[in-house]
Amino acid sequence: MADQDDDKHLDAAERALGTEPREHESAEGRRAREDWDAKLAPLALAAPPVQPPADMFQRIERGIAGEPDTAKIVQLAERRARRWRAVALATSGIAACLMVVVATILTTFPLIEGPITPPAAPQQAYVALVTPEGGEGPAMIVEVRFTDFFGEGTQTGIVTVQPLHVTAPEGRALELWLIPPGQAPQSVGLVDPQSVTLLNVAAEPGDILAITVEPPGGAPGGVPSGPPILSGPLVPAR
Amino acid sequence: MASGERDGPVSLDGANLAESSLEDLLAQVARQDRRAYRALYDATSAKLFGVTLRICRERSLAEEAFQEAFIGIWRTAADFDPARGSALAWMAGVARNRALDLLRKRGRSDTPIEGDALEKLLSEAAVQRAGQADLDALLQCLERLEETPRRAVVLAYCEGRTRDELAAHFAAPANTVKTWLRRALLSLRSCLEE
Repeated sequence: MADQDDDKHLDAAERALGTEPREHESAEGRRAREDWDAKLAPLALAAPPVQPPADMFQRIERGIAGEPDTAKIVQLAERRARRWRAVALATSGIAACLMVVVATILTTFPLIEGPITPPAAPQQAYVALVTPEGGEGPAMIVEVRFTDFFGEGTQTGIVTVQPLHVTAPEGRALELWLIPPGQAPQSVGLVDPQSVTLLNVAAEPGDILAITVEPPGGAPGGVPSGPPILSGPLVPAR
Repeated sequence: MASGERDGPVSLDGANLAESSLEDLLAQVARQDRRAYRALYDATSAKLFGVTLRICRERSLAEEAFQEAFIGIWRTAADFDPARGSALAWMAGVARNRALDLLRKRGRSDTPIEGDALEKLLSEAAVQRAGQADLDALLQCLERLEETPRRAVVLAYCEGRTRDELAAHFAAPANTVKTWLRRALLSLRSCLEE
């Protein structure tokens, strides 16, 4: 009697400690573990208090509302960008490019790593144009698009990070614009989605970056031919 | 003048929010009271962020864990059972478990255990023991353990170290570490029941 009970009890204790996994915990096992959680909690709470960042509560509220978390997108992109950076450094002489991060929010849903399920609301693509940490290296786009990834008839959100993962329609070019608030768009240059594009932009947080589809050679008269296919405000990189 | 913005029980107004216990606030959060949630956050965020940071070690991972933990607190506040412990202990459990999950999934397991880690952890705790009977009791029971099992338990719990990390640290097999941990936990349990 004692041994078996003790074993189960100690499994629960080690789950509370963190040295046993909690994945397949039964309801009963969970109650036992929570008893241990309560016993040990004073020690956890004895950790020195540390103020979280000032915008944390805002981020939490957005998470509850199901809105995308800009900071998290940047984190996600930076994590993946670290891998891309090694490749880019090997293949091109890196110049300074976009010094800030653009986040475009076209729909609302929480962004987590891996497949995500959209709410039952009209969906669009969700894009962020980012630079890797330190502002060096190629600009790239973090895109979340909905697709029937598992072939099950449900839409899941898939996160991809690629150098300018945008395709121009046949025979057209992509142009990047900088739009400071209240001002006319200024062309930054054409971007080639097939390769790494290095761009120099003097921009400030609050400016809008936008990509439009143009004739080859760029917008006639230096004015966008139509509405942007991607756009978003600049937010400072971490 | 206390008027809830939602249907249901009257939510706490500014005056009595300040005096509410965490248990009261958590109960209000279970009823979707946003102001109580904010008050709960203000009262506990530094403590709980400290908990996640100590486990995750890396700041951005800790922020992510903390954010998810607090969202979890909003969603599962109704799970809190006051008969089984304090609101703060329950919240610490949510935060800690979230931190452990992220640490296991994405944390780096190559951050070394520092030589004075145990002493640091225990002295941080000791600073607060005078005002907290439950912390004092737990520390007394930990003090009754032998050095090695105490070290293993505290490093596992406070820093989220795995059996393998502890095994490397002590230069002992993982099974031995498991035995130390379990014996220590049994002792703690009987000591706490005294």
